[in-house]
Amino acid sequence: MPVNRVAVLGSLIAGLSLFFLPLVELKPNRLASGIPFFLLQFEGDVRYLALFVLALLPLVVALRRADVVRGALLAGLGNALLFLTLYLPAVAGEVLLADAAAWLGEGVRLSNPRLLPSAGLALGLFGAYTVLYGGLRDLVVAGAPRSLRVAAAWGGLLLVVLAALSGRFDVYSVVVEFQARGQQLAQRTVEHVMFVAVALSIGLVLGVGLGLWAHRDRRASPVILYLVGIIQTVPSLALFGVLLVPLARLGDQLATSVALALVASLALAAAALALYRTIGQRLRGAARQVVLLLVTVSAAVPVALFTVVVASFSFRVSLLAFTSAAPALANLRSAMLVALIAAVGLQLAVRRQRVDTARRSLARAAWVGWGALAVTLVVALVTASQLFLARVESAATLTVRDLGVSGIGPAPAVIALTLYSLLPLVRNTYAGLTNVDPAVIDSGRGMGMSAPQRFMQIELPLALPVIMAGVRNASVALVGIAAIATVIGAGGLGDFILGGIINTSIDQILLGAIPAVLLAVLLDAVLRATEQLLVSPGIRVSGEAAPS
Amino acid sequence: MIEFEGVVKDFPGGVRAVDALDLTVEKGEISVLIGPSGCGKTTSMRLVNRLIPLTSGRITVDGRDNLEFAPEELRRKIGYAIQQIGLFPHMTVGQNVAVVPRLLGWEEQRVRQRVDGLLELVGLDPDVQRDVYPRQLSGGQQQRVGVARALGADPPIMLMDEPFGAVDPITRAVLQDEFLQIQATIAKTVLFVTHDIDEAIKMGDRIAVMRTGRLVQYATPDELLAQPVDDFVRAFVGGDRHLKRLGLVRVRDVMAEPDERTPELDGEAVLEHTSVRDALSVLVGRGFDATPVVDAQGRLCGVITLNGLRAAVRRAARERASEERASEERAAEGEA
Repeated sequence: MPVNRVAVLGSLIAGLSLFFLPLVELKPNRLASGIPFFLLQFEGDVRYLALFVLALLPLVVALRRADVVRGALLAGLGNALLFLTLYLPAVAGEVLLADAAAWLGEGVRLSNPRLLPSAGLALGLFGAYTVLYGGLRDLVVAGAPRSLRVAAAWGGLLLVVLAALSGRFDVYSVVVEFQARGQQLAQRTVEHVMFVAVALSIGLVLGVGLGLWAHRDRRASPVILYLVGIIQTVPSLALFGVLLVPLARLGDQLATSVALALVASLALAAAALALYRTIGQRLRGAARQVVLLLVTVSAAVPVALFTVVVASFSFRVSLLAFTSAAPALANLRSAMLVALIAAVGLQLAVRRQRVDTARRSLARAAWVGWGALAVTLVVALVTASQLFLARVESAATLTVRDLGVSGIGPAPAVIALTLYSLLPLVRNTYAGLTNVDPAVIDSGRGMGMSAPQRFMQIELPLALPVIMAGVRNASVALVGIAAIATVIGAGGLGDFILGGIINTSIDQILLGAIPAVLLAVLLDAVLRATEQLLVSPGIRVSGEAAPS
Repeated sequence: MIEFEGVVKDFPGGVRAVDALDLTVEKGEISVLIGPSGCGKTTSMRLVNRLIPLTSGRITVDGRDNLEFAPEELRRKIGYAIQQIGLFPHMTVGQNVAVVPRLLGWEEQRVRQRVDGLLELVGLDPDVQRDVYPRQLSGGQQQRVGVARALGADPPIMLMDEPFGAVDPITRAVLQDEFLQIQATIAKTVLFVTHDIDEAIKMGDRIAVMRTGRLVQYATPDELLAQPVDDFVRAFVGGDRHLKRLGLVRVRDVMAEPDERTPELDGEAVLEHTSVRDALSVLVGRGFDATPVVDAQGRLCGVITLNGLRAAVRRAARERASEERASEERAAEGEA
C-alpha cells in the first residue's frame, strides 16, 4: 500500500476537530456549566498553532514510500501530537484560570475552577493515536528493530504520564476531582477489583465444573447451557433486586441452623441418588424424570446456599485483607508485593534466557516466587477472616449476616456477578473440551491413562486456550457490570459514576469511568500473560513455535 | 502371544461386530487383520486392550486372560499406535514418547535414556527433535514418533491400527520398510489392522481376512495369494494375485549363476534384493528374456531369465509347502 491511509485518516480527524471544535470548557466549579474555548481563542501565543502544523504534517509524510523512515516520522508526529494536544491547552488553561473571574462574569460562585476537556481535545487525541497507529504499522511491516517499535508505541504516553505526575495537567477537571477524592478513589478501586476477583474465582470453579458436566453428560448439556444463557438475559439491575429479599432473610438465620439445613439437604440428595441408582434404571418415562429432578434440585439447593455464603464471606474477607490497616495485614501485603515483583521478574528473565540449564533453574525459581505469592495470599486471607470473625461472641449466636450475607451491600453484588460470569465460562469450557480431537483422547486411553489422568494431562491442557478466552471475556464484562452494583449500596467505582449522573458532573463520571476502563484493559493484559504462561507452545495460536 | 477364543462382540442395537473369532498371533510375529470397512477388524483389535468390552469368549495375552488385569494396567503393557497418530499436540516429542514410562513410574534418568534410544531407533535425531512440538514435524516424522511412543515402555505386544495411513504412498513405503527392519531386531508380537492388501502382504507374517465379523481365512501371505479359500478372498486379494506372489520373492533366491554371455547383456541391471515382481517388470519393459543381477556394490552376481523365473517360483512354492508340512508334522508329534 503506497499511501498510509490510516495516518491520513488520523491526520484529518485531528486537524479538523482541533480547528472546528472547542478544545476545553472553562468551568467555575464541579456543577455549573462553563464557556467553551476554541484553539484560536487561546490568545497571545503562536505556540498553539504548532498543533495545526503537527496535525496536518502526517498528510505529507503519508505520501512517502513505505519504509522505516516513514514509520518513524509518523510515529514521532503521532506521539508529539498526543502529548501536545493535552499539554498546550493545559498551558493555555493556566492563563484562563488565572483570569477565571473575568471570563465567567459576575455572580458565579468560583470553587475549584477547572478545565473540562471537550470534543476537540478528545477527537484530537483519537486522531493523534490513529496517526501513531499508522506509523507503528509501517514499522512492523518494514521490520524495524523491537526497541524502536517499543519506543514509538509508548513514548508519547510516557511523556503524558510524566507531565501528569509533575502537575502540568492539574487544571483539568478530572485531575481536580481526583485530587479532591484520591483517598476515596483508591478504596473504591480496591472494592471494584475485589468484586471482579472474587466473582471470577468462584465463577471459575462453578463454570468449569458445569462445563465439564455438560461435556460429559449429553442429556444434561442442553439444560445447563440453556440455564446459564437465561441468567445472562436477566438485566443486572433486576438480578440485584431479585436477590435482595431472599438474601436479607438468609442473613437473619443462625449459621448453625443453615449448616444443618445444608447437611440435611445433601443427605436427601444422596438418598435420592441412591434410590435412582437402585430402582431408577427400571423406572420408565415420567417416574424416572421425577426422581432425576428430585436428585438435581436437592443437590442444587445446598450447592447454591453454600456458594452464596462462600461468595459473600470471601468478598468481605478479601476486601479486609487488602484494605485493613492492621499491621499484620499491611506486612503481608508488602510480602505479597515483593513475591509478585520477584515472580514476574524471574518469569521475564526465563523468556530472555537462551541457555537451557539456566533457563530451567530460572523457571523453577519463578515457580517458587508464584508459590510464595499464593502462600502469602492464603495466610493474608486466613488472618483477615480471623479479624472479620473476631467481633462474633460465640458460635451459637453467629448469624449468616455475621458471615457477610445481606440483602443490600456487596453480598448480592458478588453473587450476581458470579452468576453473570457463568455463561462465558461454562460455554467456553464446554466448547474447549468438546473440540479436543477424539483421536488424541483415544490414544491416551489406549496407552493406559486413567480418566483423571486423561483429564489433567490431555483434555484440560488442550481446552485451556478456549477456557482462558472465556475467563478474559467474563472478566472484562464483570468490570462493566460491577459498576452497576452501586445502586444496591455495594460500593465500587460505580459510586462515582452514579454520583456524577445524579449531579450531572462529567468530571465525577470520568473519575469512575477512566479507572474502570484501565482496569478492564489491565485485567485483560494480565490474563493474556497468564495464558502465555499456562498454554503449551505446541498449541498456541500465535506462538513462536512456527512449523519448520 | 495373543489368542482369541470364540470372541463375540455385540454393539447396542443388536449389531454383531465380531462373531466367534478364533485367532492366534504367534510370539514375535506380525498378524494383519484385513477386510472391508465395517468387517470388525478394528473392533477386534480394540477388544485386546479392552478399549471396548467383549460380549463373550476369551482373549489371552501371553497366556493370561486379559480380564485378569485392570484395564489401565493392561493397556500400559500393550503398545498402541493409531492411524490419526493421536500425538499429544501440547507435549514435546520427548514428552509424547515418555508418556507410558512415566505412567509406569520410571525414574527420570531411565525415561530420558529410553526416549533418546527410541527416537534414534525410528530414525529421528534426539538432540534436534526431542524438544520440538508435533506440529513442527512432517507427517512422516509424526508417524515415526507415534511408533516410538507405542514402543515406549518396551511392551512385548503391540496393536497398530493403520499406523502408516495418514501419509503419502512414498513415505508410507519408507516407514513400512523401516518398521520391518526394527521388527527384525525387537521381534514384538504385533496385531496390525489395515484395509490395504498390499500393506498386509508386505507387513504380515500372517494375514487374517475378515468379513462381517467373521474370520474368512487366516494364512501366510503366499498361501493367501496362492490358495484363496473362496470368491470373496479371491476378489479381495485382487486379480493380480500371482503377480503379488512374485512380490514376496527376492531376485537373489531365484537367479542363476552368471555365464560368459551375461556381461554382454546391456542396459538396466536389477539389484539382488529387488522383488521378483519388479524384476519381471524390468524384463517385460526391456523386451529381452534375460537381465543381469548386481549386488549392493554394483558387482555382477547373477542373471535372471523369464523361464528361470517361472521355474524358480514354482520350486520355491513347492519347497515352502513341504517345509510347512514337515513343521506341522513335527508339531503334531510334539503334541502326541
